[in-house]
Amino acid sequence: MQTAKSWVVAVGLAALVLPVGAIAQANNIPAYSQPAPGEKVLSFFGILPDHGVALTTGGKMPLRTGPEGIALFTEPALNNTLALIMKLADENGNVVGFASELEIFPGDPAAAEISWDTAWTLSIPGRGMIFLHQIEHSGGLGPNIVDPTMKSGKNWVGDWTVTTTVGPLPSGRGRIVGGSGEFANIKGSFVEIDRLTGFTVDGVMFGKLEIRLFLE
Amino acid sequence: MIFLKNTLLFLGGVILGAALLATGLYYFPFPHAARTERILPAFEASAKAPEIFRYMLSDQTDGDVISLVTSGAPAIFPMMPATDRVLSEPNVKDGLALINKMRDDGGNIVAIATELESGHEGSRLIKGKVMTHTTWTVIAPGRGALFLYQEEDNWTLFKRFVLPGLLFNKSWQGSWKNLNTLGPRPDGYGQVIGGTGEFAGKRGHFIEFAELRDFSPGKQLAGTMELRVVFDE
Repeated sequence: MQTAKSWVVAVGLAALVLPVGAIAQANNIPAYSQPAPGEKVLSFFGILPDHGVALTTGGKMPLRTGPEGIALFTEPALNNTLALIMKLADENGNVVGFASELEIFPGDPAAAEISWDTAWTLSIPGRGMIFLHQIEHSGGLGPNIVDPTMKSGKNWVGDWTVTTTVGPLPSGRGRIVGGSGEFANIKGSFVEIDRLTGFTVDGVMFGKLEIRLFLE
Repeated sequence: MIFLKNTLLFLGGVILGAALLATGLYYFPFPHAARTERILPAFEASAKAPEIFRYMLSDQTDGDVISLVTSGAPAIFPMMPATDRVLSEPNVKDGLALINKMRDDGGNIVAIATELESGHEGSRLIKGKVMTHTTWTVIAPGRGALFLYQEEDNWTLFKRFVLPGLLFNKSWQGSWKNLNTLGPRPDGYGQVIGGTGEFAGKRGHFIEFAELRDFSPGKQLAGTMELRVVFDE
């Protein structure tokens, strides 16, 4: 049970990705996270830890992978990468699809001020697929929540929200690359917003991840 | 007595009719089921130097599949690794999610990838179509990410291997080569949606080509899968 919980946490951590010595703010949500006048918003959510399906890394990151027994990307070419599968819900919490997140880290993801490329692929059965690219940072998750929780031995409860997206668009948003089906002609931008409301000493993360699309 | 006789005749007719229909479907030469012989040569003739991403299917440690998750029912493809965190909700129960490593044409591991499949509205047994909407996302360190979309048909896989496995627990070993892709392009190819890094702004087409070597119910498939990607010049 402990192991199962731990890897589920890692799924959450994968979305937020681990420690960065960046300056943390309780609600680090830049203005570009909100729609501009005339923009239509379409959001998908991942409830943590319930919607985590699978997570693996190159083994360098301090993340518990899962399900138990999942292989790591141990080859030299892949040992600084991450792959995540999670379910997606609508705003009411109903599962409407599933998604993959693939990340390449340019260096030690625990290092300060690092940012990295992330590819999100959303599959919304009955509607279509959406392909996304963003540059991400963690916004200080590690030094502000994970590390103090582990050192203090006390569960963390709070409300910590961060927009992890910092590019590649000049506005700071991520880019909608394309889609299929209902989304075949999709154009616009997006942000990933992660809200953490709990983190336990045994490594269970509670919260919600939002993929917020701004449609042109 | 007459009623019983008529009932038995009726039931016998239904069973015979169903058997004839199933037999007819099994042997009917659906044109799309012959696409490997028709489309693959055309692809190979037109694609001078396709980018190859290949992975090995195996239930041994030499395989390149890291994670495989479906709804779990039917349990013809076991979860890898075993898990109860499956795609069980009504909206995703026809889904499949795969994480794997990718090799280049020389067999070197060069990328990680995910495949997401969901049920296709065009699936009809009476038309010999067992289809999915499929995405491939390949991310190659030092190069970038590549986003691919295709429609797949697994009719032949279903009737030759999955169905006998489900009904009779039947295994198979050999060499069966198949073009899985069935669109959405009019020429039968999948689409390059876009990419990042080296693949930024790229357009083009691709196919997914498989060689199956072992199908055993309750075990992972064994064989080779390839994405052959051609970029527009």
